[in-house]
This record gives sequence, structure tokens and C-alpha cells, in this order.
Amino acid sequence: MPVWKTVLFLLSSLYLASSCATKAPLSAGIPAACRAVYENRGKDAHYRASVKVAGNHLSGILILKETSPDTTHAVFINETGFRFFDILVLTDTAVVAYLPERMNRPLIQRVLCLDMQLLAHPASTANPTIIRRNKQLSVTFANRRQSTEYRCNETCDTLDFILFRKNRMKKVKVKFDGVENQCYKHIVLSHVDLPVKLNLELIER
Amino acid sequence: MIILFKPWPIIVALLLFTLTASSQASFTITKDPDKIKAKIVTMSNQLESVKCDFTQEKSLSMLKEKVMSTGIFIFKKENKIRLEYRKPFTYLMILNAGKLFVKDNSHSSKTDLHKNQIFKQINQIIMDCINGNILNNKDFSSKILENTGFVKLNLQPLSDGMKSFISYIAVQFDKKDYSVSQIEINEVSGDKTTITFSNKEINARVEDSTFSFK
Repeated sequence: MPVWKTVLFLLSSLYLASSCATKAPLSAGIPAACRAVYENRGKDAHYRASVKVAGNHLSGILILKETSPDTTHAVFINETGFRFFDILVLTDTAVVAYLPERMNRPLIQRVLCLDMQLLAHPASTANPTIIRRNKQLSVTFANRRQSTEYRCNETCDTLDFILFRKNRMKKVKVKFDGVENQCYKHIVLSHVDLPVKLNLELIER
Repeated sequence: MIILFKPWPIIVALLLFTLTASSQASFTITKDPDKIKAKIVTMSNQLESVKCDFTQEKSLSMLKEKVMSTGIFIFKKENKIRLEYRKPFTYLMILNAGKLFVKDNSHSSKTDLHKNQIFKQINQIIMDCINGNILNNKDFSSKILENTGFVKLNLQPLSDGMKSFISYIAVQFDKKDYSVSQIEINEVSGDKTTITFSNKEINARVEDSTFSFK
């Protein structure tokens, strides 16, 4: 068989193989039909929160409240009413308003800011830049996230997305499941490279 | 058509409003603090157990948001507490012999209270309020106020650690039996946690097994 025929055969086979392979499960952005849904939901809700951090278990209530059209407050309190954190999430910035002294560490601040931004603005593709002023931390979400891929169902009831690092390694996985009264019903957020997993269930009020 | 005017619902509503208003009437500094202290001490000496409902209201100053929880509170002398949250979700917390047991839907844990000093102090305050020992607590300066129905003990923290997050604690006693009816924890941040006790059963039979960690 001539060489060109072999090359053509191989290329055709590759094309066929790639066409028959399972459809890529995630897309580069939230489908347009669902974008508006996820831009506007989950910003005024109380969640029963359960957090696993390095084998430890924390539980309490996470409040996501939109205090202005572009600002969402994320406050976590435990069952007896003590605040664990208070983070202000704007479209392109997150500011740590409160963290207890013993938890006030750069890594914790950064992870919390990123996670709360993912919950408040799942459709945003901004990428965090850390700015430190004294002890208070401000995370600015400039540029684009390294890479985020989304998967929605047709009714926009569920949304999965994965935030990748620059080297395509998975960083954070988020799953929104169900919508009720313009709020997400169930959210699971897990870090791939950190032992952190957040589980949220909507509290009916 | 003749519409008969029935004034009694309005009268009842007004009466209820007046009664509520009088029970919440403003507090003034008591003229005889020793007499009130003696009554609180007498009550606490007689107190063996308390079983009641509670409502916890957390007010977040920055968000102007309130988080309400309700449940059952059980206390047994000397230092056993069971807090059973029923709404908005079930959550159990037991304090017994310096240990804290926590149980929610999927998880249970047992920790030594000595490992968490702030949590230990807060729980000690709640325990001291219920059993009357708060009057002897040297970590706070106190001021006694009263109105027609209640006595209020305002406690200002003295230690720097406590001062950094608690502004003051107000404990309200019901003058009918000098049992605690409300605990209000005011944080430096402006947040406030109010625990109100109702349907109290004083010295009801409470088994020790109520405080066992299962």
C-alpha cells in the first residue's frame, strides 16, 4: 500500500475514532440558555453546611445574601450562633471581612475567597489575584480562571463544573443540584488537591 | 344589612398588647441588689434540673439577618446539659463531665472541652447562668436591673480574651420563680445571640442516660 494511502487510512481511522468517542462531557462555558439562571440564583439563601477539612468535621449554617446587585455576603455560623467567617464577594473581588484569629492564615483566606466566589458567581470566569493589606485579605478576580468547564442539563436544574489549573490538573469540582424558590437546593464543592469538601443543603424558611 | 360592632376582640388585643408591653418594660438599676442575689441563690440551691423549650435567635448586624433555631434544653446538676435542636434541622449537643458530644444527621463526635477554651467558657457561662453560679464568676463585673416582671443581670467581661469578642451578656430571670428566662450574648462585632427559655419544668425527673453519648 502506498504511503499516502496508509497516512490517509490512519487519519480517517483517527477521525472516526474521535467522532465515535464519548461526547466531551463538559463545555467551555455555561450554555447561553442556562447562563442567566446561574447568574441570578442562590444569592439569598440559608444552607445547612457540612465541611470536611483534613479529617475534621465542621457544621453550621452558611448564609449567602445579596446585599447589592453586585455584592454577596457569605457568612458561616455554627449551630450555637458563633461566626466562623464572613466574606464579601463582589463580581471581581472577594474580601475577608471576618475570620477568627487562629484561622486567619493566607491559605485559608484564599481557599475561602475562591470557594465563595464559585458559589456566588458560578458563571464567572474570573481568576483570583491575591492582594494583601495588613491582616485583611482582598482577592481580586481579574483575568480569566485558568480554565473552567461546565455541564448543564437541558432544564438548567443541575450544573457541574470543574476548575482546572494551568497544567490541566483538576482543582475544584462543584455540583449544583436542583432549584427551588430561585435558590440552589443542594451544592457540593470539593477540592482535588486539598482535603476540603463542602456540602450544602437549602434550608426552607 | 346591619353590621354589629363587637368590641371584645379589640379589648382582648389591647389587653394582650399591654401585658406584653409591661413584661418588656424598660429596666432600671435595682435598689436592693443583695435581696435579689439572695433570691437567685435560693433558687439555684433548690434547682436540681430544668427541662424546657428554647428559641435561639442569631442577629447578624452587617446583614440585618436573623437566624432562628428552636429545640429542647435539659439541664441537670451539677454540670450536664443537653441541647436538642429541632428546627431548622436536627442537631444534638451534650455537655457532660468536661466532654462535648455533637451529633448531626451524618456525623457524631466527642471532644474534650479543654481543647477549645472559648467554647468551654461560653458553655460555662450558660451553665453558671442556669445554676446561679454566675453571681460568683470573677471573669465578669455585674450590674443588676429590674422591671415589674424580670430581673436582668448585665455582665461585662474582664479578661482580655473574652473582651475581644464579647461586649456584654444579659441574663434575664423571671421574678415568679427566679429561674432563667433569657440569655443574650452581645458580641463586639455587633452580632447578638438570644436564647429564650419557655415551658420550663423545674426539678422534673431527668435520667442520667439523657446525657450519655450514644
